Amino acid sequence: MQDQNILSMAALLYIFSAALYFSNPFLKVSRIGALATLVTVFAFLVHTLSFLLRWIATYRMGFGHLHIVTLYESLSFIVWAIVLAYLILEIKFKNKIVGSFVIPLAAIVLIYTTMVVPDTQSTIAPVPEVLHGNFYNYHVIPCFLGYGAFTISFGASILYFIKKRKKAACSTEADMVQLSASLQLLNEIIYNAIAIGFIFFTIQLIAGMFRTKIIWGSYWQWDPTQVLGLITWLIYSVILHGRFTRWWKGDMTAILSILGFITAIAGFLAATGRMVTTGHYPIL
Amino acid sequence: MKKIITSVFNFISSINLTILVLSAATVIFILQVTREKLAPLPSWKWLAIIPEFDFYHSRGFIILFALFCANLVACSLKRLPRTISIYRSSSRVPDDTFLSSMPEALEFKAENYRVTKEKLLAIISTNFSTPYVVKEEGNTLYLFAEKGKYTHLGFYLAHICILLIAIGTLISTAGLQYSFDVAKGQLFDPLVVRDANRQEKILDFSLRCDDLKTVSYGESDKLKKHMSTVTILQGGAAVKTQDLDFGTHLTYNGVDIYQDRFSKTITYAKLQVNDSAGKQKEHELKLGDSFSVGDTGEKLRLTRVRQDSVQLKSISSPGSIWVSKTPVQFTEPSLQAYRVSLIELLQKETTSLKAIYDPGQDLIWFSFLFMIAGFSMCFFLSHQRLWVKVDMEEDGSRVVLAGAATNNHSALADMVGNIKAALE
Repeated sequence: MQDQNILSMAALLYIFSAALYFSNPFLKVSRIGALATLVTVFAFLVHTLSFLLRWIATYRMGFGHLHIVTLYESLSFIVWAIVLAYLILEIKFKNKIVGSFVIPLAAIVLIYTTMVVPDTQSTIAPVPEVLHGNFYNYHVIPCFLGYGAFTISFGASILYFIKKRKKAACSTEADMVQLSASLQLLNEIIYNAIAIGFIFFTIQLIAGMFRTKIIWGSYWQWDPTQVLGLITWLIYSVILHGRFTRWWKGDMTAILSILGFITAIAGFLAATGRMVTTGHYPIL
Repeated sequence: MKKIITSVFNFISSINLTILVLSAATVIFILQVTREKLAPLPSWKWLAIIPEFDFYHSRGFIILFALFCANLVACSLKRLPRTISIYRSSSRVPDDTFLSSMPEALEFKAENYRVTKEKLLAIISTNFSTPYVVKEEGNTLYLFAEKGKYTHLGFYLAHICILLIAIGTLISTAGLQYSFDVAKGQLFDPLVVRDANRQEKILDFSLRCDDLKTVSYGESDKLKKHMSTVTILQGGAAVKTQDLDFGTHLTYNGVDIYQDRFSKTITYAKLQVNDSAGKQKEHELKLGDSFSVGDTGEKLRLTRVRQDSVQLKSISSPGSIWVSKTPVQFTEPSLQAYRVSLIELLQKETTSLKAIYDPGQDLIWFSFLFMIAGFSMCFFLSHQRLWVKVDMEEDGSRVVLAGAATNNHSALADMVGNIKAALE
């Protein structure tokens, strides 16, 4: 399939940009950083092209739906959301620090998607009837956009602890000042990423409630997938409120951000039926 | 006593309680999900040390939820005086202590008073928003400018809407959702549904299924959807006809009719009931359906179907009879004037429709939209305020710039810095 070939090209480009981002902090050459961004943007456009081609292909086959149904499509869209969130935050903060973690992660997930996910899940299939209408797109798209933003906050949190460890070990005042500024910047990135992700995640939670109402008869069923989504939402709520207290420190934000990301992954695994049994319609 | 009430209110309205409630809910939900779903697995049996519990339907959940709602209301009320004082601060003449307490406060010398005043009015208008003169007296000028004044409403919007969504879901429990099978050509006159307590509710309109089919993708045999053409009738006249599929529903008189995902072939029994006066009435029933026998008030339900006979059971008494093509007399004394026979057994293609009445739906929907708007205002918009004091001096003027912002402090700091650079 044409779109699958284009997607594998995007995966290779992401690997290349991941290498550039990873080496950027060590080599400290500004052109490498600029090249990394350029390659990422190009890879993102190629990735977007693969979506469009797949979408067109679904119409040609008579199905005509936005395809975020199979594991292949879902992972591809999540990677797209991660890269989009990262590019927005890189433009806003004019800093590539988080790219050295997030872009390699995105590249690994996309390589897995294109190489390991079975063919049965990468070929275009009709969308099951239960996924027609009823807020499906309003539920899934914001959910994955939220995952993208939460991945950025996760990456920034990991880097936060790495930098903190470096700060504890450094000896010169200049280095300490620089690292303190980095830690503050990472904290801001974490907060902004969570704020964006929280809004999208709230949209998916409510849209999911409307779907549940139509399919199962009530807004909330205490299904494991729903509960894990709620847990994720609660953790990020705690972070967003905690910042307004005097005793809240950057460490707490970073720890909870990592925990929130883990529960988000658990929710995704539950939705795919790979972790627990659930009434939530599984990603195929 | 007042001290106690104040302490309690401060606690209930505190952000620490918010964090405590959210964290408690998080921990309890994590424990419950892991206990329910992972403990039965062989590799996770050690999780069985957590005792089984159902927090979702417990009093503890209600208490936690009540505490959450109380916290939402109390913190909103507590914040109100501060929000009002912020709005009132625009007309206030700030003293030096106030100005120096602002997060972005700069003091510097500038050109002569008139030139500085004109420049300030122009620069602030261009870079920020139109300032206005709070006071000009003698040799001192006070200016004030602000942006994003109404972003404080985002806090109230978000919190109030969360409460409204909770109220909406409670209101929804007064609604109903009822699935029913319908055959092609079948008329429900009127449409009778059941609420959550299985109580019958007679709706004020009739429903007829004009057509039902399964639609495939193109020429293939891959199922795309089940589709029904449904007509709503009022007083025998058709008022609305619509094609329904799983993603498209029909709304009439506050009731939504949805297409469900299934179709099946169902056996219908066509029965004829004759009374002693020779009056006949036909009934077409599937398993589980019931009908009234004449004016007796007695109801019979179709409970079993065999190849050539069906069983009818009385709803009010333990009696039952088997009915075949030969007319049979009822055994109950109240029904002995009636005889029933089976005319034929029919195989009918049916589909499943769903009638949903949700009185809380609109409240939830609008609250959700406004809640998202509230979150966006809280996280991404900023109320920025700028006070300026200009004192005339012998060799020019002394300017004090003082700014405060709810978000994006660095942008305000940059703006204040730019104004200073333009004036120096």
